[in-house]
Amino acid sequence: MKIEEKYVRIGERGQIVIPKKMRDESKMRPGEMVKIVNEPNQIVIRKEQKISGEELFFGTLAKLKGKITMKDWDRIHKEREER
Amino acid sequence: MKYTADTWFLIKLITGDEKAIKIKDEVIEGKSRLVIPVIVIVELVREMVRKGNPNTVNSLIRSLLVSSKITIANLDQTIAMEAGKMGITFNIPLVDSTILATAIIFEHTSILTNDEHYKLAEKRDRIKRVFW
Repeated sequence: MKIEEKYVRIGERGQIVIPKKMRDESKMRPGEMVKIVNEPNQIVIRKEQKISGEELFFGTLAKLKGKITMKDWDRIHKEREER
Repeated sequence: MKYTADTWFLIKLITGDEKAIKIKDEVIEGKSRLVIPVIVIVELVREMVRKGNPNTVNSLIRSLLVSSKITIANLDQTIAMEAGKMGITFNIPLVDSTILATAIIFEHTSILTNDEHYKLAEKRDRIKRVFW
């Protein structure tokens, strides 16, 4: 997914409209909940996750089984000493 | 428990190691917290690209952005300064000193690693290595 930026106008009661292309790419459907988070200098809109970020992360790691092994750790450890 | 993950731990998880999976489950259940120094992510991504899995990198990074129980510790000036000092004090490589500094600054001083470079820091009670 390409990261895009767009300016939208804030309505009288604080409403904004998320552009259709962004809604489609993020699979945001009418009626679904999103999370609004107040972070330093920004407000972030996050799609509701059916699976947690950490489950996703560990699930992604599990897919690498057989491809990355402890032999790779031995090599990484050696490479660290060379830097 | 508050852990800092070295690349060793992530590879242990990848291999399906039982003890690593137990710690992973603790994190998912909210019983433990995990900090991953960004330099560990660099090493992991290098391996993924090396082994021909560049497409999985995007889903990996996206998942970390929405995780509330795993913190990616970016390399800021506080960690950089601590890493510089640790590297010289304990005579350890750049990556190890960055991980060590991250663990200390974030106060997640149980480092999931078998790396012996941390032995002296462990002897001086700065951190504790967790390995099996």
